Amino acid sequence: MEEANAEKGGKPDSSAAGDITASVEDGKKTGASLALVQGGRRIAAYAMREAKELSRDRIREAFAFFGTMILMLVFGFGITFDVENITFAVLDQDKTPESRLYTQALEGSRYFTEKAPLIDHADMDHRLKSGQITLALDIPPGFGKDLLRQKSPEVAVWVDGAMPFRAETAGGYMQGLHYDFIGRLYEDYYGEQVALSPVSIEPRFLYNQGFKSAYAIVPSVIALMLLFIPSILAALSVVREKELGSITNLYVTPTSKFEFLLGKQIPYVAITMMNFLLLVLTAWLVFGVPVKGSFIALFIGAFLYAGCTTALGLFFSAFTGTQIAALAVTAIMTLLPAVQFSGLMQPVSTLEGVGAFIGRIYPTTHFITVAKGAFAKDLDFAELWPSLRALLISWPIILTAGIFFLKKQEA
Amino acid sequence: MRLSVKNIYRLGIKELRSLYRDPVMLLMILWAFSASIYIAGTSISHDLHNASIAIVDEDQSPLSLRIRSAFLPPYFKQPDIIAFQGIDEGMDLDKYSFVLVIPEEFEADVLRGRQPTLQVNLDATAVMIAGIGSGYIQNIVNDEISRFISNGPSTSQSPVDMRLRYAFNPNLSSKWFTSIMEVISNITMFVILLTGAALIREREHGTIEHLLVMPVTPIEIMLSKVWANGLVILTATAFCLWVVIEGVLQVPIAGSVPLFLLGTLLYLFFASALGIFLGTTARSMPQFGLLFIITILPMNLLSGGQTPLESQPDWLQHIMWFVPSTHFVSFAQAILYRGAGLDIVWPNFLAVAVVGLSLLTLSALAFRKSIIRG
Repeated sequence: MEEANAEKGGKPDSSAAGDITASVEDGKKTGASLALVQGGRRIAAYAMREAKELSRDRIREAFAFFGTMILMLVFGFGITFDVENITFAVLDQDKTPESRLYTQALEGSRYFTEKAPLIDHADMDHRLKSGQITLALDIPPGFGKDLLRQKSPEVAVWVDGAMPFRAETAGGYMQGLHYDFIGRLYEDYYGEQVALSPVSIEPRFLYNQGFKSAYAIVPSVIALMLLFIPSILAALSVVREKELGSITNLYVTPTSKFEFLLGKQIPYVAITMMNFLLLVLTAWLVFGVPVKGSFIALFIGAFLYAGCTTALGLFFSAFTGTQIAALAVTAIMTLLPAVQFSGLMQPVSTLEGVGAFIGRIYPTTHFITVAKGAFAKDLDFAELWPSLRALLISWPIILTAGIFFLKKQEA
Repeated sequence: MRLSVKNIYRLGIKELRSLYRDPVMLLMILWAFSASIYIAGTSISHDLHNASIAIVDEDQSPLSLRIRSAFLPPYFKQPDIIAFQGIDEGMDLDKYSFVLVIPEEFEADVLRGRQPTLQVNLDATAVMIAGIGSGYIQNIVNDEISRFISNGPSTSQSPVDMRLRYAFNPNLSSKWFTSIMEVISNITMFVILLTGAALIREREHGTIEHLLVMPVTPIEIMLSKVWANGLVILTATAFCLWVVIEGVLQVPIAGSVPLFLLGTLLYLFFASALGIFLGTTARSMPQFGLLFIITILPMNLLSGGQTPLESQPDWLQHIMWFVPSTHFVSFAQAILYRGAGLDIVWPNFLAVAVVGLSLLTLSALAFRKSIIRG
């Protein structure tokens, strides 16, 4: 009740004192605003305390900044979905000019890398099993003869299916090469140009003309970087006090749980925002990925997201009594949803089951949409609003849940 | 220096006891090796699935109608028919991953053999789905058209056929892949946490002083942590493979699970050595938390379990070769999917063992130094 009053009459003004008719009201107001000022002071005190602890731990500070930078560089260059360097080997049981023409198609492709020819089927089996080759091409004996007699010989292609996405893409490339071969065959042997397909299909790559992973990955990596470290640091900041005993300050002083958690959160949000600016700069200067759309929207999105991720850490801290458990909970509850269900690997709309549900409500999903929209798609504030709104709603919800589960006194 | 097996055993029991007293941690281990694996396995499909597509149909012919109705679940969602002006908005707001444009006079041009052009708009920031999806769309359209034409004059037979098969995972089920990669990632995470964080805790609480005044050596303390935590994780892994992955998720395991567990055991040495190393480097739990994230993320994302290793720049591939998680992913795929035996995976085992042993020695030295330093 008192808090609600404080919200309404929250202006700490002395000018209202001149208003005699509302003196009773006024008395309530000053009481309420006093409470608000005190509450604000307590929040500030906790924020100061936390900021001081952070600033005295140079190693933690350095890691919080440079750790994210290093990870950004490694992931920006290292995460790629471009399927290239597919290793293959040929079991050519025919050894005619025709069979060589067929294998030439693969040798010339920039996606494939040739390994030593296969000796027999056992060799093929072994090398596929050991992962030395991803694709094996088996040309049967009599291939050339059958081809010339127009008896439609059949080549067999084996693709290692252990990594489905890569296998599927490699299979697609192989299909393309097969059609290329047929085209070349008609040209070389029959001297005619044939249109193999009645239509031509023209792909138009939006937002990322070169179809390079970096452009898609960099905005998503920023979303990951602003999640793990802030949430872990925020979670530990509370559980650490529990484990080392200084949480008694919360138990025995008039500080409310809200003041305590918000005070804890402020310095981590600040650090996260500094980190964010550093990452945006890196994206621009190192990866050549500038912000095309609204920077204001991206900034606000990052701020709200920082609020959500630190609040998530605080939420997890409510359930855990030891720092080890807090680390485990935070890692488990952030790593899988953010890496798998938030649109980093594939659109959230393609998920199913529990993952689809998690993906739709997880803050990272919404921030990735904002980041991709602002970096790659040239979207403005209004177009990014639905995702920003989701973040704006999530923050108080997560924080309230954290307040609800945090105990003011040890059981 | 003599090692006392009894001391190592006793200290390990102490580790197990302290883990047993932390119900949240136990719950997390249970969660990570059961529900978490199940969720990952059932939620994700790497192949095209439920892709959202819109079609701009400016032809409105029988052929264009056929193409429209050819986009079917589970690969595609029911296509939305939109106007040409709607393309940019739909793509900008992530409503569609693909927009197919069928131009005017399309059917007429096909029948006259003029090879008209279909445009496919792709959201290329969703790299993985864009590449695979364009292939699917191409095939679907080609199939529909050739079926449409073959009602008329018959097309000639292809001069050569290709039979494309996927070895070891014929339907390219993603469940197989994601569930096991998730196990690997959780193994790494928990072993590092259990060993490293437990060390920091002893330091922060001062109980490491108790250990030091007892007649035990730092090496014994370290080895006790390795065996106790390794045992917990190895048991969890075995449970997860047999019950969750083979039992509940129905993933057929091609190779020998004991062989895989043997490899896991080797990997556990490495992971606990890494945990101890991080635990001695960090001075407080928040520092350890940061180090933990900074090491675990690259191991999770770059070892070939999430993204293809072969497409990384060369320098990174060379670095990743020295990271045992890369070998772990590699032999896990070889044993569990391809049914490979020891004759094939021994180089991976050896690499894990060598790196693990070196790091174990290094952390032992670092641990001793940090204890003496206090």
